[in-house]
Order: sequence, then structure tokens, then C-alpha cells
Amino acid sequence: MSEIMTYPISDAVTLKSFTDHRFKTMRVSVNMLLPLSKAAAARNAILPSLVGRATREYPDYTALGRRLSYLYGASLGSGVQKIGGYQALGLSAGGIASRYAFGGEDMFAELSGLLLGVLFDPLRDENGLFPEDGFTQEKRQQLEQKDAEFSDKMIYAHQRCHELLFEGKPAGLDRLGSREDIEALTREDLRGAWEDLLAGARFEIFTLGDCQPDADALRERFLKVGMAHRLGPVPYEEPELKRVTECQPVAQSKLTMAFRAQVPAEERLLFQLTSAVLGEPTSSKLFQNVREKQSLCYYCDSAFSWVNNAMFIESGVETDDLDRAEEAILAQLTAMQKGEVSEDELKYAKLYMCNHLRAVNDSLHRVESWYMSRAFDQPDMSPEQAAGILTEYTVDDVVQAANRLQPAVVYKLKGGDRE
Amino acid sequence: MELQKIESARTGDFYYKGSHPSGLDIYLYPKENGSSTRAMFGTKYGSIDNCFQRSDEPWPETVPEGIAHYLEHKLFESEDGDAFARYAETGANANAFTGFESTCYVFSCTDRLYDSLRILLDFVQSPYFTEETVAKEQGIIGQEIKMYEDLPGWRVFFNYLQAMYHKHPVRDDAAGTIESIARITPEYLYRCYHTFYNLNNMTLVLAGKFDVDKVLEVCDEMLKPSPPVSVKRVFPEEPDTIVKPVIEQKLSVAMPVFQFGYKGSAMNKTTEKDLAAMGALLNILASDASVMFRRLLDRGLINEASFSRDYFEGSGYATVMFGGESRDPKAAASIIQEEVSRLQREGIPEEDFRWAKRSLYGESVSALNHAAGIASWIMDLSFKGLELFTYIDALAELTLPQVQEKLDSLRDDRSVLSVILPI
Repeated sequence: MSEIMTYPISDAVTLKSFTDHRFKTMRVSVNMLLPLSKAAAARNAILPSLVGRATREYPDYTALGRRLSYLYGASLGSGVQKIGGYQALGLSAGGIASRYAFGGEDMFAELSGLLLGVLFDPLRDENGLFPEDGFTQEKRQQLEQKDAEFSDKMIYAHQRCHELLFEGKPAGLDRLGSREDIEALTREDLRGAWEDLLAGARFEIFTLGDCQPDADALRERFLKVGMAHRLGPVPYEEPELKRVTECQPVAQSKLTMAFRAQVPAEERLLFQLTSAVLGEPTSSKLFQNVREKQSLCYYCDSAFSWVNNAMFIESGVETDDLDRAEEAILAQLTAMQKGEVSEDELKYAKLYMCNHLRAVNDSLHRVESWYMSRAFDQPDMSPEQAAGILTEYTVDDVVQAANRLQPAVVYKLKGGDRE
Repeated sequence: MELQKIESARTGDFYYKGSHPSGLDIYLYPKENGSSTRAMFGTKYGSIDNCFQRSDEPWPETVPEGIAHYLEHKLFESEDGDAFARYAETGANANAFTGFESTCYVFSCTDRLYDSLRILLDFVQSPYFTEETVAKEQGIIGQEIKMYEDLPGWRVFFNYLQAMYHKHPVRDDAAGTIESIARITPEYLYRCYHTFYNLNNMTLVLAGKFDVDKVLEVCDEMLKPSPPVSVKRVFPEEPDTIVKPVIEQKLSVAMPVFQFGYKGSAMNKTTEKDLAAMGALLNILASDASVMFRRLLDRGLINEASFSRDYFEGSGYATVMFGGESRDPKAAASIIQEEVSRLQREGIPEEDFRWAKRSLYGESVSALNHAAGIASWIMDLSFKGLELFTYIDALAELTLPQVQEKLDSLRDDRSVLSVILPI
């Protein structure tokens, strides 16, 4: 079994390498983490897609697309995530392993060359500005991304609940920035923004799959970038319950609830296990009772997010059943808090989580996701070690954890007439 | 049972294929060094199979829409409890899916594979439906249907099919409607079960970490021979024409969503070469390296996150389609039509064919990374009577005239634009 190798390049930059020839592909990614701020969120969020759309060698979007297609459908991707109170800006390159490249290409050299090219020498005009056409395109697409998130009501309801949970706090900001801030962006605003990002972000770099990176060469390239940030969860504050109901003309209403708890890193797995007992696998209380016994919904799931010190419960229900569903969900949580957790329920939740943890190394994306999270807590813990720790928890531990969950938000998106 | 080893010189992979004495087709794709295994047990029975004739009966019969999906939900329950509770003991992550042409029961696991396989083979072969258990599911499936009613990507697709197909049941929602599922009874479920869940009509696929002999031992132990009954799927005659060129619906969305495409002539037998040629054509026409994509993007008519291209085909239906979010779906459809016509007139450039083919090859190799993806791919192809590595070989041997022929089959007078507009 392959293992992750960690190469600290500086206080601000870490390279993690997972070389595994079981995979037919490789992936190189650079994740830049910055504290979320209203002033910079929109400006930062547009940068990865802007720099990733063209290179010095292939300054035209379509020419770059053809080069990537010719490299066996390789990708040069970008993304923006919110991880707790941080904005994570990502650039990545991925493609097939060299042994499948019938043209004899060194795929790692090709892909890392493209990635490092856009990272350290992005295409800009003689005035140091990003090209007008690319800027216009990316600004429009950022706004359309926000539209898409309104159109998908599961995403929308989750985001509204999250916003309400962290109202007025950095963690409550949209990862893409506000609509107004995106609309107000100009090319001039971005002058120097890329350099600011390179200088101010914490870097988590990954090489994954069937490739053999030259760690020394990468160290050389990244030695002088970045700023050390101590990453951690959103600080816990005692919540005051917020209840918000909004109406939209939709067929199915959504119910999203948030709970907070103060959870030190060493208890992260316990709270994830608690969430699993409550509402993740089909053996969980919410699936068995709210869905199967009461037929109230098709989905009713919980998830614990350690970086947010929060647990979310989400469901889609008939409008007339919104209050009944809320009561039914709370009844299951209350039962747990009273100690109504069987040894079987605990065992099934552990098996469910262990199954997921032991499968992490079968997917490059899951490996990256797992070790990105480790930049925030328990940096050396492998999925296998996590599975071992889980087995030690008892029913009492889970009951105590359930009793530490504080209700924070009940958000209802109430369906109504669509005509 | 005898297993045939099927190897791919291009990828270095192999799998085993065999026909079990019970009638079940079995595919085993080992990935020894991984941690997990994916198992799929599927029947060639999907949402379009609402009219059928058994080989031991004189007449065809028609059943309510949504039965295949309802059956999928209810099969998890048996007299002794539900299959999910049994899987909970092994830690396997189980699920099921109903498509237009098939219903598949799946699990993924990293431990106790053979116990989970026994559960899978057992519950799928053990139907148990009562008035009470069938009634209980109405609320759950009703909410599933309601969930889909709000999904713009789902609605735009089914509206598109309704505007394209006059009679073929592919135009009906896969889960049925609140009204049609209200007519489903235990008798209907048993009837459809005993018709389509015959092992001669089913396939088992495993991909990942397993011992071939042990899997076959479990199959020998669990599989119950099925009567030698075959089933003819009956579809109404579908004209070549479309129903109407434009269909619109309003939903609570922030911007319009569209699906535009061409009704194709359903082929008697799709080959691996057909699929490879269509895959290359879609790359040439609409990948982000294409002229069409660039024209649409430059005019602000699509975005990279949502624009998609697909070839959707099955028993009696086929369509090449494009879609996504757009401020102006009609203008987007117009550019797609122009680009298709231009390439039909001018011919596909040799260079475009080369990069499209290389890209498709890379996508195929990448898809062999993960057990779940491999199992689904093999299952889909097996129900069409096709082989995975034959497809990859067909891709390598693909010629430009084969792709041009597919392009030339697209006709403007058989195109449909489906749009979801903001309320």
C-alpha cells in the first residue's frame, strides 16, 4: 500500500506526494489558502479560473484546449472552496500516466510544466493586466455560478443555513464573494492581485498517482512563495437559535438545520461518528425512522463539519409536513441525547465509516481531500489510523457528544404555488 | 462454469466473463492492489419496459409507469427485515439505481466481501411485497418525484424527450408520476419481478479486490436456476419526426437552462464502433477545444461549469444533445445548428479528428482507475451486447469517415430545443 510522503518546503508551503502505480492517471495540484475576507473574496475567487484559461505558450483559450485534448484529454482546472473560515483557491493539472501515452510524452513534465507556467508566469498584457476577453468571460461565469446555486434548491438551502449560522463572520461569506463585489470588479483591481496571492497564501501542493515528482525541483520553485497561516476551525461561540422561513415557488420544501459544538481536534472522529449514528448510513436513526417508518422524506441526512464546529441536517419534505419533519428529526436527536443508542447502531456506524476510510487510498481525489483536511488538524493521521481510533468509542461517548450539540439554525425553504 | 479471459493489450488490464449454469452472465474485473470492491447485480429492465410479452404467454401486457423504480425500492425488503439492515452488519455501502433500460443493485466494500455478495444475491432473488409495505413506499417515492420536479437539469431533459418522442416510453419520467405510482399493487410488482428478474435476463459484475474462485463459489451457493422464459419488450412504433421543435417550462431558477439536440434513427444493433464514433464526434463538435464551444462562450451564451454534450441511446431511441445554463437558449441553439451545418458542408478537419480521438482515448484509460466506474461501464455495455475492450480497440481504429457519417446523420428538421425559464 502506498503512503503519502510529506515534504515541508517552508512554514508556508507543504508538498505532499502520493505515488501509486495502481492508478492510470496522475494529478498535480496547488491549493492556496487565505483567510476569507469581504474585501478580497470576489477578487481572489476569480483569479484561479482567470490564470488557468491560457498560457504564454498557448495564449488562446481554444489553442490551449486543443493542446490538452492532444495530451490525451488532459485537464488544467481551477476551483474555489470554502474550508471553515478560509478560502481555498486551487489550480490543478491531470491526465493519463506516461506509460499509456503512445506518443512517448513525459506526461508529468508536460502537465507540471503547464501548471507551473500559469502559476508563476500567467498571461497578461503589456500593461500587466489580465486579457480583457478572459476577464469578461470569467466575471460573467462567476456570476452565473451564483445563479446556478440559487437554481439548485438543495445547494441553496444549505448555503442559506450556513450563511445564517455564521452571519456577520468571515465563515458566513460566500466563497465566490458577493454578487455586488463581483459585478464591481475591474481588470485594474486585479493588477498585482496574483502576486499578492502568491505572497500571502498558505500553500498545500499535491502530486498524486502514477508519477514520480522531483521534490527538489518543486522545493526550488516554491521556496520563496506564501505566508504561514495557522489553520484551524471556525472558533466556537455559544449559538442563539435562529429560525428563518423563506418562500419560493417550488414543488418540494427544504428543511436545513445547524447545530454547533466545541470540538477539539482529537474529538473530530467522535463527532463524525455521532453524526453517522444519527443520519448518514441506511442504518442511522434518521433513515430508519424519519424516512422508513414515517415516510416523511426521500432524503434526510446529517453531516458533521469539524472545520465549522457544526453539524448540519438536511431534508426535502412536503410543505405541509415541514413542522412534522422538524419534530421527527429532533425526536431522534433527543433520543440519542437520552442515551437511546444501541450497541448495534454504534457498530453499524463504525463499520460504515471504516468502509469509507479504508477506501480513501483507492481514489486520488479522496486522498487529496483527506490530506488537505489534515492541514487543519492532526496532520499525520492516515485514514487507516482514523479507522483504528473509531473502534475505541463507546455508546456513552456518542451520547455525551450528542448532548454537546447546541441548536443554532432552523432554515425552511417553503414551497408554494408555481403558477 | 467456464470463464473466458478478456485482455486489453492497450491498457494491460483483463477481466473474466462467463455464463453461470443458472443463466446469469458474470463479469469479474480484478484490481488486486486496491482496497475496495464494487459489485453490481442488474436486470435488463428499466423505466421504458411498461409493455412486454413473456415467451410462455400469448399476449403482451401493459403496466403502470414507474414500476421498475418502485420495484427497486421494495426489493430491499424481505419477510425477515430489510437488506440494508443486513448490509449494516458487513459495513458495505449499498444502493440501487433504475435507468431507462436497466435496474442495478450495488455495493462497495473494503471488508467481508463474500458475506455482502451473499446478501446481494439473496435479497434480489427474494421478492416480498404486501399491501402494507407497498403503501408505505408511496410517501418516500412521492418525495423523490417532488425533488426531481424542482431540478432544472432533470426537467429540461424529460421535457426534451417529450418534445422529441411521440409514443416511445423514454418520454415518461423514470420514477413515474404521483398518479401512476398510486396504481401500483403487490400483484403488479410480483408480475414484473417474475418476468424480468429471471437470471437469463440478468448480469453480475464485480470490479476490484476479490478471489475469482471464491466469488464463483458464492454464486454456485446462492443462484437459483430460473425457468427458461424470455421476454420481448414491446414498444409502440415511433415516427422519425419530432413532436414539436420547442418546449418551455417555468421554474424557480435564476437563469434559463436549455437542452438542444437531434433525434436520431434508432439502430437495430449499436456497435462499439458506433459508440466510439459518436464519442469522437461530440468532442469535435462541443468540447472546450471546439470552434462551437468557443463561439458560444465568446457570445456569453454558455458557461464552462454547466455546458454538456451527450449521446443518449437505447432500445428504439437515440439522440445527440447539448445543454447547460444560458442567458439566451435560442441563440445558443442557433449557433449549435450553424456549426453542425458548417461542419457537414465543409467536412471535419483531419486535425480535429486527431485531437478528439486522442482525448477520447485518454478519457477511456482514466475511466479504468476506479472499480465503481468500471463495473457500471461493463454493466451498461453488457446489456447492449457490447464489450469494454472491444470499445477501446474500436476507438484506436476509428477513422474520420466513420465520424463524418455520424455527423451527416444529424438533421435540422429533427431538432428540439427544451428550455427552463425563470418564473
